[in-house]
Amino acid sequence: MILQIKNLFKWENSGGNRVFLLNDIDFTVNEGEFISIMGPSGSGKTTLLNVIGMLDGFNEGEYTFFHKEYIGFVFQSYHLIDELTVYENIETPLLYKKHRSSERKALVADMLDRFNIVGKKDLFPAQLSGGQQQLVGIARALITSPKLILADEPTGNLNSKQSDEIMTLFKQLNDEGVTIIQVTHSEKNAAYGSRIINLLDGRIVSN
Amino acid sequence: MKSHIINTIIRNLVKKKFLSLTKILGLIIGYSIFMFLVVKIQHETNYDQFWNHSESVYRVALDLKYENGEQVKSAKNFHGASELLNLELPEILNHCNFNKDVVTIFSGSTQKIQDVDFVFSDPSFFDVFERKIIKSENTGVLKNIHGVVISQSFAHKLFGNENPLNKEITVNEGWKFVVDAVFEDIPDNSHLKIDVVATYKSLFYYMRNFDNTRQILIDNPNFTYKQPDPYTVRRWRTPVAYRPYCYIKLKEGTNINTVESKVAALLTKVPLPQNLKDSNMAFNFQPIKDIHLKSNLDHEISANGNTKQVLFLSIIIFVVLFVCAINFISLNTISNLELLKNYAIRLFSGATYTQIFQLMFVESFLINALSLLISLPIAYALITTQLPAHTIDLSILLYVVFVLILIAFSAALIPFLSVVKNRFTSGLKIVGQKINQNWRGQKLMVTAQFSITIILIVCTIGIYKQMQFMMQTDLGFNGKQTLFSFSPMTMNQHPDIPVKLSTFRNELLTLKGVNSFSTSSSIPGQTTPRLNNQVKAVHTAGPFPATFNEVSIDDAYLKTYNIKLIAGENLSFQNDWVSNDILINQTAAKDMGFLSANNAIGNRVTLGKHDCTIRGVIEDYHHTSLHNAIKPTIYAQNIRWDHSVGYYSFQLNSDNVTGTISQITQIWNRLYPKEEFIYNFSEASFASQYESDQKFNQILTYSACLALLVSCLGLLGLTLFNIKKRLKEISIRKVSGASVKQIIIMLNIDFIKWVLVAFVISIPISWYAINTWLEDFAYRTSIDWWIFGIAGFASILIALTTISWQSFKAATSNPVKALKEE
Repeated sequence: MILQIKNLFKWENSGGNRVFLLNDIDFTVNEGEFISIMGPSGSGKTTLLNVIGMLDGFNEGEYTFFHKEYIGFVFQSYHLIDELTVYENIETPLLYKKHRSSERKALVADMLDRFNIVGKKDLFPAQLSGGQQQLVGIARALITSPKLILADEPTGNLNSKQSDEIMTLFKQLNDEGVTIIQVTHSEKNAAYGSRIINLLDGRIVSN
Repeated sequence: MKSHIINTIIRNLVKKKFLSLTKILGLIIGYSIFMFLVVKIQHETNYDQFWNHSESVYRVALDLKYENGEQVKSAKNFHGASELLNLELPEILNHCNFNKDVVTIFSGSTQKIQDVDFVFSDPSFFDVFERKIIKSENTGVLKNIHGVVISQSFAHKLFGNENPLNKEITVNEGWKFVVDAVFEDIPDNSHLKIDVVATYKSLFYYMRNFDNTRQILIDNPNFTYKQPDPYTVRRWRTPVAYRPYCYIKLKEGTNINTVESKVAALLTKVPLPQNLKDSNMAFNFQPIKDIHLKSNLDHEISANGNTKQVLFLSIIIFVVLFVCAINFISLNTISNLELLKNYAIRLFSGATYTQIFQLMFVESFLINALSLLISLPIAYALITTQLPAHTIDLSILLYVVFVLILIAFSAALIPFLSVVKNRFTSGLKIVGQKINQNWRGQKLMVTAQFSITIILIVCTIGIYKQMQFMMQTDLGFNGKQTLFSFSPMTMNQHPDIPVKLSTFRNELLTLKGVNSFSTSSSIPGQTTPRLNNQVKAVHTAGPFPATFNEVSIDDAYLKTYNIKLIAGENLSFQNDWVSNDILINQTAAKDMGFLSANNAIGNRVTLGKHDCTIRGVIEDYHHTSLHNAIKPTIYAQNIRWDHSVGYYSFQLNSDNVTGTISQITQIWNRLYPKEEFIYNFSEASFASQYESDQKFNQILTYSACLALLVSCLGLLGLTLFNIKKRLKEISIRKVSGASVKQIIIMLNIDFIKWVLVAFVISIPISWYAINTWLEDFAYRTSIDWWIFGIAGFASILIALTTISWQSFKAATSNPVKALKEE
């Protein structure tokens, strides 16, 4: 078991009414799983992902996980720093951990090699296609060897070919032992995973 | 720090070219002005601090309260003052007196230098004012009765690169001296400007033994010099014109209060003349380094600086720096707002807030350092052109670095606290969401910048108005087309003066171009060094309760300077240029107690040993600048006005001025062959009294313009940022039917209202500032409401121009584009 959520509630007060963003969420994730969270717009998918990633808090309930350091994030709009090169973007998370410079070099080189982007290491995000940018985003998420990857619509801005590539990559990572939770709209993407959690109005409707 | 800080910073700078340029330009202006003005203030405040033991050198000034209540605070004192202190008090290391003279010096057959700063002093002069001295082995300094000691730069002026030692120089009418030694120049920032030093002993020797008719010195081996003795009455009765400046140097560790407390007792030991005995007499010990800024006594050696100007300069420094710093801070906040996304990414990549702050500080610091680097040569150029003789004290770098760190730190801290820190309260919500780029502080910044700018503009206009006022005020005389020269020095004390002068005048008056010619001891725009507080009505005991200026003139003076006679008649022509008739001005008539100008005519007053008759009363005119009130003045007809310089004035008519001048030169050269005819225009000479005001005005004007420029740059940066932020809003409004005009108004009003607030804030402050400055002028212009109006209107207009183009561009942009991007 990698994380456990028990009777979790998150709400906002608007005009005297309590609006539930997450309503009595209850589930467990085991190591090596590849979970897809699905549901219509506004059903609370991203909120749930943010809570799992500790990017956002909650009002009630129980959530057990180790530490934020063991999570990597992948976003729909990549969120790369425009002023940094591919190499520097991937390196960024290492700068805030205690790594020696030679160690950092080796880790980034590995990552570039693994994603076949060595030739692009000195380019800036704006010079890359969306798919390539997302590759960099994933490389950055993986550089600290996280136990869990949280991906919020990772292929939302990509065409179908790029989309397939990224999903294949996720599958591959999952096979190597990384636990993945993704938010997605696409049945096709969800099919890459091992389990689907369906949300509606902040409630789990099927698991 | 290991992150890619430097790369990021450089890329940010390059990417946001306009914003970066604006930031850097503002800082360059700030740092340049800061360094220049700090050096200028250092120059003003470090006067006379270079002397060895400058803290123990004091000038002994004189405070006299006469029995009739009249008070004189003079920079000069009696010869006996420092001599008495030196003899009686063990606390005093040494002392000297000196009398200053302005002379013409000749060397060789042709070389001639006018206006030389020459002093007669005691042999101990260089013990009080220590200088490096170069001399031959076997000569003493100020020991030789024929010797003088001259400054290095003056030696260079006279003899070029030749060795000046033992060279001969001739002073005025023919006193020949030998250069015994050369002293290291007295730095520019000293109240003493001295190029030649000779001893009192030489003075008396030459006065006694110089034959003025033949213009040679008749050596007298039997000459004995009466050593100065403060216990004789002659050391205490010198008239003010001949009194020296007195200096003492204390032994180390002595407190001046000890000396001060003993003065009253000492003065009882000397035979003071009756008028001093009857009055309240005290010595005023002025630390030498305070003289330039703090001393404002009568008879100062030269015009001193003033504390107020230094204060104003300090305020200008602070204010300009403040404007530039605010500009940088607000632009930096904007760029940090645009970088919020990056900070968010760094934060979820594991950075802490402290690390983000470090990043912001390093960036801010590097931009400041770059700007400082660029401004160094600019400031250096300013300093070397404006203060050529000043040696730059490197301590200024310390101040600059301090200011740099302060600005860099606040420019990182303010955006950090106001827009970055706590921005991401609930976890890292920001990621994946639209970033709110509001920043409340910017309105405050705009208001502060513009308040200061408007204050500077008001002060500039006010001071400019005062300058205009001074230039345009009817001075009561007319110096148009009037030339003046010094009276020929070679003739001083010469018995032939009146004869030669008459010849000179008669020949001049045959020239078609010369309307009139006059000789006088002072002319408008020059000081009136002769003061007299013992003027009294004939056959009365007590003098009038006032100190009168005395000027010697001739019958043509009024015509030459076009001065109006309001009662009585002008002086009449005298063959020997001397009579017992006098003119007085209106102020003098009032001070003598006459009810009207007409009442004064025919009255007799005692001037020194002469009983004189008041022949006429002239309208008050401004003999000196409008800084000073018009003083009661007596115009005597007496060519023998001591040994001091006099003036020859020539009123020309307008045609062929150059031709006339060359004709005058010919006559002069024939009559006074040893001296060149050097002339100046009276009008220009009078105006030169305002040089320091003009310089100050210049500094203020430039500062105000630069502050305005920087404020506008800041405003432009803010406008660009805000418009970018509101592009979607603007598009929606346009799609909903707003016209271009409505949108421009909407965008402009947002800023203009803050400029208006700034205007309101600045009115009282600038009103106070300008009035404080004007207090220094006896005659001043009025500060009208329209000055504020113009300043406010101008800044609003400039602000509008700055932002309107951007507003226009935004208002006319294609709304579809902006909406699509969302």
